[in-house]
Amino acid sequence: MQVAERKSLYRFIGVYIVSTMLLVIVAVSFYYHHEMSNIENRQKDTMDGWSKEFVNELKSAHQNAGDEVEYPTNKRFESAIYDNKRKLIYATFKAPKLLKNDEMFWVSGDKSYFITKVSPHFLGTTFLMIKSNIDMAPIDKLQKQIIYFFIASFLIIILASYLLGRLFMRPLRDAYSVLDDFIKDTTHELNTPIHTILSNIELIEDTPKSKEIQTSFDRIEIASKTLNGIYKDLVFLKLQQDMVVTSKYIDIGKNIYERIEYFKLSIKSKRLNLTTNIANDVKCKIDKHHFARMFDNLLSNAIKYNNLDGNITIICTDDMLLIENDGIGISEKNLKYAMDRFKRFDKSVGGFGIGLSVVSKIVKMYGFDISISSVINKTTKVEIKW
Amino acid sequence: MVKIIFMPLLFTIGSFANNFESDCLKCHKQSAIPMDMIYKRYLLEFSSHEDMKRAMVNFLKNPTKQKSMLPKGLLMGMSIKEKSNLSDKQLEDRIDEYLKIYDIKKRIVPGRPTI
Repeated sequence: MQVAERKSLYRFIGVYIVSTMLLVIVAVSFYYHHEMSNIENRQKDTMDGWSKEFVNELKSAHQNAGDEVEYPTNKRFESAIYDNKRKLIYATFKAPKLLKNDEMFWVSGDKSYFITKVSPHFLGTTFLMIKSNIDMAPIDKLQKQIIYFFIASFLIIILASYLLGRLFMRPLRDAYSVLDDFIKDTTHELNTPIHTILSNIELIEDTPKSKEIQTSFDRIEIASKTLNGIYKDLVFLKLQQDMVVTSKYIDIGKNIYERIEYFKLSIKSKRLNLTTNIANDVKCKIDKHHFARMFDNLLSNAIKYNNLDGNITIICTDDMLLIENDGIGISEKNLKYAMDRFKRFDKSVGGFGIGLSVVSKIVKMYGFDISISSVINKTTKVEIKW
Repeated sequence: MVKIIFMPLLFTIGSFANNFESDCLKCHKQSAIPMDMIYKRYLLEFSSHEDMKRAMVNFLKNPTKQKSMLPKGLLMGMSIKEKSNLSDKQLEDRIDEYLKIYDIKKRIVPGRPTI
């Protein structure tokens, strides 16, 4: 799966999950409030029934009242009676002396309260307040149901989002596939003509030529080498799984000079001033062809995106390679996309925009670190640490 | 428990005995209408002592069968009492004494739980 495809898929999954879960949360919230309201209503109905029974007991206490009056008590609930001035007459719990509530039913903490009006006023009661523990069983059951529903819906949403995402990404994947197949096929077809040109250039290189012919010949050689570089990059990107990698310690300095020699015509044609500061006997464990691809791309970019009579500096120490040029530079905004494949910030120069992508792949393959810094129209530095 | 409630009640009655006995109990004892029953009937109808007192003053100053709290059956065999000769202040004081003696709040005790 391509990086862009993976990114798009993750974004789709993220948006799908967040939006769907929000919808689920809203729906569940409505359901929860509705169910809680039902539970409260059931509690209210129960307390209403209790209060009716209790009024009968008050009636009995009133009728049997002598020097002392036995106040009815109950294990299911506690009670308080108030007169018509809302003053407390008697309570089995710490009830307020003056009744201020106008609500008929309310919940406070784990207790529910129910108030009913009483007439005739047995024992002087106008308001009867009943206090009871809330029956937590249905609430616990509801909360458990909601948690299970959340977990189940979350899993289903993840699965659905992945399947839908794959479906959604198919056109993009097909487009990538077409492009990849095209590059693969083109790479195969380019092999023979490029090597024919390069072999023939080598054959007639030492043949005496007039100055004009030599200039044209040099241009052909530069163009052929550029084409060869692109070809090799494409081979690396598309056929790397078929390549035999032989990682061993190589002499970095020697390889750098070889590659500079390869690019000398390009450097000369742009009248660039190349400065090298390469430490002796620098060794690094890397496949020689991979190092060549990495270095070629960095140097090729330093040449391509440089001005006429510009400068290129190559510094190599025991653990680092730095290639710097004072060409057009890359803006801060574009720097983060510099490693993306097919990304080109200056389309006036040739190439597919795969060079830094190849460098990035090789750097990742060997666990190196790469950093790019640039100032527009001043300098671009690429540093690789191993 | 009965003693605890009853002793202070007797003491209270004793302390107000003079006025309350001569102005109220004297006749009520003769008519055999228990004072507690009257209290309970007023309580059942008016709920608070404030409203009970207002209704009692109103009845005693101008007694009618309509205002009486006695059961209809009992009223049929009895003549309605005469207007009270007491002044408003005396009347209110006697009623206060009466409500204090029979105050339901002082007589309530917790019963045994039924369920």
